[in-house]
Amino acid sequence: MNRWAGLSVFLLAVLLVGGCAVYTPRDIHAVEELIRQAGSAGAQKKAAYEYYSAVEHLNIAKEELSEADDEHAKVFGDKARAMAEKALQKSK
Amino acid sequence: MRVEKRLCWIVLGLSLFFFGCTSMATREAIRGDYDNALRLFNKLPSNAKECAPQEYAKTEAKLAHIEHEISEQHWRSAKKYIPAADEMVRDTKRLVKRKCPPKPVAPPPPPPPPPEEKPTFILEGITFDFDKAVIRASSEPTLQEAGKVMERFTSVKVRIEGHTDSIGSEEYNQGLSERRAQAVKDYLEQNFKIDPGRIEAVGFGESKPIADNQSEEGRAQNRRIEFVVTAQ
Repeated sequence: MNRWAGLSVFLLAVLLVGGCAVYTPRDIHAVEELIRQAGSAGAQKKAAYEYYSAVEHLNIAKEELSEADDEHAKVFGDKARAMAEKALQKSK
Repeated sequence: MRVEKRLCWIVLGLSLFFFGCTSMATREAIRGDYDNALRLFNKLPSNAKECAPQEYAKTEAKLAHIEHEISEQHWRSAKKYIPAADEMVRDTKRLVKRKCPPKPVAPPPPPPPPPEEKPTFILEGITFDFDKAVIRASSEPTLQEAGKVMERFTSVKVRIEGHTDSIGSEEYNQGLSERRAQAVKDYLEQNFKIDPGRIEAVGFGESKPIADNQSEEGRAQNRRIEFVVTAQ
């Protein structure tokens, strides 16, 4: 029993340290939604660079996710989110 | 058996050696290609982001992706993306050039005209008695000429400058040069009814010699009256 408890703690620790990079299709959809909102606000013209940067980074995030590379998907997904937020803010 | 074993080791060793070398060379090549593409991208005109935002963003993201792949040592992926990134940079450059051609550089403003040199005349033949500031009869023809010119050209304004040689104290010579310049001014005003506002009299004493004060000839040249035309 003690052995199982120890193993559980170890796994939890591994997940806590390394598992932060978990990135899911749900995260992708959230960014897509942000980009859609920015597009509706006219970001293609008002904040073109930020808008297209978000789109491109999200494409890379999707590609990484399709290769089961959560960590990289998160890096590019986060960048896409940041740019989408900027685009939305500039377009309001 | 022993020979076969040795041969196996040699083949294995050589394989490892060549695999390692090729691999390292490939990595260097990928890194080099990426650096070249990045250099091209960084050389894009400063207005590229505003001029072709979509293409700029796309290229930037692609380069970031490659950099990430290289840092993670995903050489195969990096190699796959580099040609596309390179082409994107070139396309962006072409697009920026077409859409936002560099504005012609305005020619530099012409240099300001050199300050107009005011004509200066040395009125030769104006002499004074020793320690006097009275116009001598021998100086009058010269002053008559000057007066006539001022009478004719009423817009002309002049500055009469008195100079001395170096004999005597500086202070004394300063006063003497001022008195002599004033004497010339008075002469012109009284004889030609010239508006006093058109003539200014100043003395420079011995401070502006034009010849050597060691010789009598030089000193004679330094004792002079100069006319400077201040307005024409």
